[in-house]
Amino acid sequence: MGERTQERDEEFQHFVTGRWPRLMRTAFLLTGEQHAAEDLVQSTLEQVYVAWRRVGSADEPEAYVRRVMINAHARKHRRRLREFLAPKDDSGLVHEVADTGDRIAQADDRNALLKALAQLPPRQREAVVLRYWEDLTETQTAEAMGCSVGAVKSNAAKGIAKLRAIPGLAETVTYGGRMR
Amino acid sequence: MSADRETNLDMTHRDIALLLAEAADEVEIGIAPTQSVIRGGRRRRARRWAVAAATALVIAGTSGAVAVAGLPGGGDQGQVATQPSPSEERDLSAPYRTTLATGTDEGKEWSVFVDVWPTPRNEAEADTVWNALTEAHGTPPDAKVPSDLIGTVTYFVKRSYGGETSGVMENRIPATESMLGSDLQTAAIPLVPDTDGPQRLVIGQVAKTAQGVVCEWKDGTSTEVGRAGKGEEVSTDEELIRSAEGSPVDWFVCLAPKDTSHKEVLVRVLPLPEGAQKS
Repeated sequence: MGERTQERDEEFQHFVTGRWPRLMRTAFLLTGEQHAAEDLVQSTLEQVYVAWRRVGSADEPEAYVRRVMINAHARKHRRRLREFLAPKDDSGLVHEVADTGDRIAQADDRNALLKALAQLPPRQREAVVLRYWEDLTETQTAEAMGCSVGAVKSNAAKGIAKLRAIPGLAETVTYGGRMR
Repeated sequence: MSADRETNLDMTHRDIALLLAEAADEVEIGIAPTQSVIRGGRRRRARRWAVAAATALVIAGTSGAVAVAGLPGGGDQGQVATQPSPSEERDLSAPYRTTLATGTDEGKEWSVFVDVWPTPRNEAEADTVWNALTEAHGTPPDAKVPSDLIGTVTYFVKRSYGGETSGVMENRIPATESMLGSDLQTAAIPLVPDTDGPQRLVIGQVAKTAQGVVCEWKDGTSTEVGRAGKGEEVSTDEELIRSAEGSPVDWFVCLAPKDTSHKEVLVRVLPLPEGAQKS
């Protein structure tokens, strides 16, 4: 076993080293916070390690990793809801944006999107990040989120609509604020 | 349509992708903590206890969360011809069975025992173990083909109550895996099968160096579990930390008093007595 385990560990190390930057960026968009992103990626990869014997030989280990990460993100959010006993209404677009819209409009342009993302319900945030940052198809996104393609379309559309409704963000794009 | 509205609509999908890419660049990537991830992964794997009757279960560990999954079927899927101890000529067709605890509760005899399957060292041995194991228990946890068993220890913990035996935990861990210091995994389940509680029966794993544990009950009482003296044989009616043949970790079982209506179980590892030597 020793040699086989060592080989698998080395494979896994290469995988981690190669994917770490990308996973950190995705986790950062999901969590909006450096340490939370590190925790999410580390926890995801620990789970991947447990299943590496099977995952490492799969055609597309990235799909498994994404699924684990999204599950972990969703679980963490569910825990927070329980902790704070403050469930968010998924349809609370007007309320959420109206409360924070002014602050976001005045915020630093890079932070504007992160703040806006943080305002989204987690499923919408996941759909937006996977579709537009990871550039996954709707089917791949549905697989990662463990839901139907219809749910992906709905969550992504709602999420994008909310981002569009934030004046500061739209202006940033329109006036080339992102182009350094 | 207002100008603002037009502006908003101008924010295309490409713009969103651009914004996301730039926002993602804000994160500090750092160096991938591969060793830390592997250590964490190993700890998680060691904790993958599959426990029956998960709804009537309290499971705890020294750190992090514990993966819990329902055990298919729940019942004992077959009697296993057990072997007394490892020997030079290894019998790979049967597990080592170790009784961890026995007792009588309300006139009914109960016991907890663990079946630890020998560790296959190559494909041929893996085939032998796989065939015997699947016949006795069904598919082993977290394994799809015989070669998955190579270098690993598969164990099944069973509880017998009033003559009825059922599986309560199962797992497969690397043979080289060991618990250290105050590492601890416990599960509290009802003593009586097919009931929702109370969780009086605590089954735990500790490092081979652990000197004792204390099970604290909700009513404020506690049960101390120590180790037998060297070379001393102690009845399984007495609660002790015990080694199980073939297992890289040690085991203990605690039973709460019957009139205890506890909701949770707290377990802590006793510190080593001052000047004591680890075994």
